[in-house]
Amino acid sequence: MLKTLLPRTFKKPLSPSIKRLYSTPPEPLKKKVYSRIPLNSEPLKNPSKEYKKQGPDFEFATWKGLVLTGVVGAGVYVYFKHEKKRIQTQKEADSNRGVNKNSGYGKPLIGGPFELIDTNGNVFTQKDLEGKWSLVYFGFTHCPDICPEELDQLGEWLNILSSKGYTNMQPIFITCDPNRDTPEVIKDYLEEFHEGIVGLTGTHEQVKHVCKQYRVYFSTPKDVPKGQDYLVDHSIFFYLMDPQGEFVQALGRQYDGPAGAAKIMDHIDAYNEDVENGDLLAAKNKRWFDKSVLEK
Amino acid sequence: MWIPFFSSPKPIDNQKHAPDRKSRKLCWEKRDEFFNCLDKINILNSLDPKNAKAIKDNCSKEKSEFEFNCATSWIEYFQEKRVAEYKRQMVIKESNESLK
Repeated sequence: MLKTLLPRTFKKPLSPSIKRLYSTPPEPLKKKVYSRIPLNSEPLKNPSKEYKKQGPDFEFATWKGLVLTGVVGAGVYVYFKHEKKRIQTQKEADSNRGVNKNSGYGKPLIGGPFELIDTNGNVFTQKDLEGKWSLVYFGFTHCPDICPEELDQLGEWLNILSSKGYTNMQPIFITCDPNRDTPEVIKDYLEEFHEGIVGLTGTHEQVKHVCKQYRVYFSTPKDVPKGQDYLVDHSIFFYLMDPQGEFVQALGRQYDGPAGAAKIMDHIDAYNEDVENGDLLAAKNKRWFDKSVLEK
Repeated sequence: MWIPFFSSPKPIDNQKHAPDRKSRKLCWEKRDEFFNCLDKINILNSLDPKNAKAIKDNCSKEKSEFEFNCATSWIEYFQEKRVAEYKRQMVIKESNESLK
């Protein structure tokens, strides 16, 4: 056939004059549809091969696909669960610190300047709270049952915390009964509890002031004859203060036992994660996903 | 029997020194013994004057040991707390039952 003599490179359609010379018109050259050819490339020489899959067979409906989806899904679930807990803890701490997303740092609700003396007679102020996690407890040494139980509880928490590597703790006992609780009395008293508890006292005015700063209610009966025994009524909370000396949370009796230690560790973890991320406040609002979803 | 203001001061009442762990423990033990005795004669409020005779007849030994070994301010406190604690337990019990 004459058709076979025509070179393949002859792309233009044959002119009508030539066409007329042959009995059968030549078949039009098979050309790829334009939509199949990348605009910036030469036409493919052998399209059928080029379009063949190169990688291993992978169908999403197969068991491999299901396993992959499961693994990725579980990973995402665990990550977001962790984030949700962290953000909730942080939110709790923020609301206590008076930090608000819109207004930045506000006035702390609890805590503030105070001046007392420790059991060695040294001055102790709110500046001494900085650099450590403090657990502040208010009580009195002639307390019948609650304070000693709570101080034993504090010792348990400190043991749990140190066994888990949380050693940067500063437990503090502040007396609500400065009349009887001199530095010497407190020193003897605290020796029977966990070591390292800082005992603080001061003048009646100083103690009254620090109790007011921490919103601690206390009442000493008036006109007690000298040498007579009396009780001091006071509120029972542990105040957790962060290494900036700011109030984080008040731990009441619902946190008795390991629950309290777990709560403290949650707060420390959330705080440390922020510090690692750089600026404490900025880090809080910077996440690659919309944080507000988890806040709900 | 130890009588306030008349008997010689009790060691635990020393206002110059806080009660130590040992003396607290002793006081709590004597308190529990006294309260166990009260349970036996079905008395809740040991501060109520109308129970005084029954306590004197049945638990006078426990009462005086409790009073001697506990600080003066604690004596009334523990007896009041016993009543308050009982009421608290009753409230919890009631609310638990109403939930059933």
